[in-house]
Amino acid sequence: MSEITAKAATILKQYMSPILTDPIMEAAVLRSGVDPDNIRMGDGSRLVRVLKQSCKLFVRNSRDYAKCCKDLDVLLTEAMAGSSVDSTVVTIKEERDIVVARATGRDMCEEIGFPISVRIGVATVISELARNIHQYAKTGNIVLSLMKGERGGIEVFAVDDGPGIPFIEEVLSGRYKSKTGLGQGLLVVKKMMDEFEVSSALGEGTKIRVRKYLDARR
Amino acid sequence: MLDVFKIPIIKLYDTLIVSIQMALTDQLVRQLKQDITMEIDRTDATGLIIDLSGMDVMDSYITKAIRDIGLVSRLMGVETVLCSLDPMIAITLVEMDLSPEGITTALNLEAALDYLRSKHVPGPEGTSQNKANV
Repeated sequence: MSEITAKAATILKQYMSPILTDPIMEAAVLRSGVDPDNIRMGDGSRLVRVLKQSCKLFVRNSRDYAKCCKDLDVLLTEAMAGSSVDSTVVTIKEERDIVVARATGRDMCEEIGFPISVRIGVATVISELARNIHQYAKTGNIVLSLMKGERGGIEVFAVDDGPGIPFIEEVLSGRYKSKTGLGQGLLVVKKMMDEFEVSSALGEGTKIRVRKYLDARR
Repeated sequence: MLDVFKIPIIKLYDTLIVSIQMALTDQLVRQLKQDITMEIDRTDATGLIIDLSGMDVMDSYITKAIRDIGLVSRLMGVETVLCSLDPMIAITLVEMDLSPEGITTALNLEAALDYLRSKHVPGPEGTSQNKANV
């Protein structure tokens, strides 16, 4: 369970039978459509809104309910200041969008306080991902998100509906060398970032999510 | 606008100097590759200096393109020296295993010019004697 859902569950436990909190949390997460491990802008408020509706029936009395709602609001404000995510979408349609994407990413890294060497590394990674989109899928999106709070950092999510990468395993293991240099680019991305997640298959497009944390090794 | 923009190639005696002062797009890289080879063919240059001080980022594509320019130039009898690489970009390049192997590098433009001059002693008529590469 993520930080925000764990905290919300602790609040709920003060006002209702502890047996109920977990199912209510789960239902709220499902109904709000929020991925608790990856809270984005606007997700927190949606989750809290659904939670308030769901727990209304189970809280002992209206005074407690009001208190419960207030606690959840405080949690939300904290979460927004702490672990909320600011994101920007850069649509890749032509070559110069690659430059826009990496420049934006570099600025965001600066805002959040990455040292300059990491900023250039992240910009390079964004450049690789954006170039892959441009080269292989023609169009796609680069979603840049700031992760604030305890584990601050930046997330780069590259998504396209292109042809997909057929030998993804080989590419990532370094065995596959393409003429176009795709393999090398992806290896660079993997090496540079703290978290690397890729899903791609022939004809299904490519989704690559990478993260760099402020408190990581370097 | 971007499509008609070209990176200028300056001829200084026997040396061609290219200074990249902008965020490179792939189109510009391709154009540059073509322009440099044509300029080498047209002039009697023996050296090529690529000044990288204005680069924002060097990813695998750009690094490969610049290395390719160096290799093509060598085939044409011209030695390439890269210079003025930003320290942070240099660190990143090494960390990512992207360093352009086989291409000479110099700290700055002066060092690059000195290096090329030491390699190619001018002949009696002031033209280059040594067009071969080591």
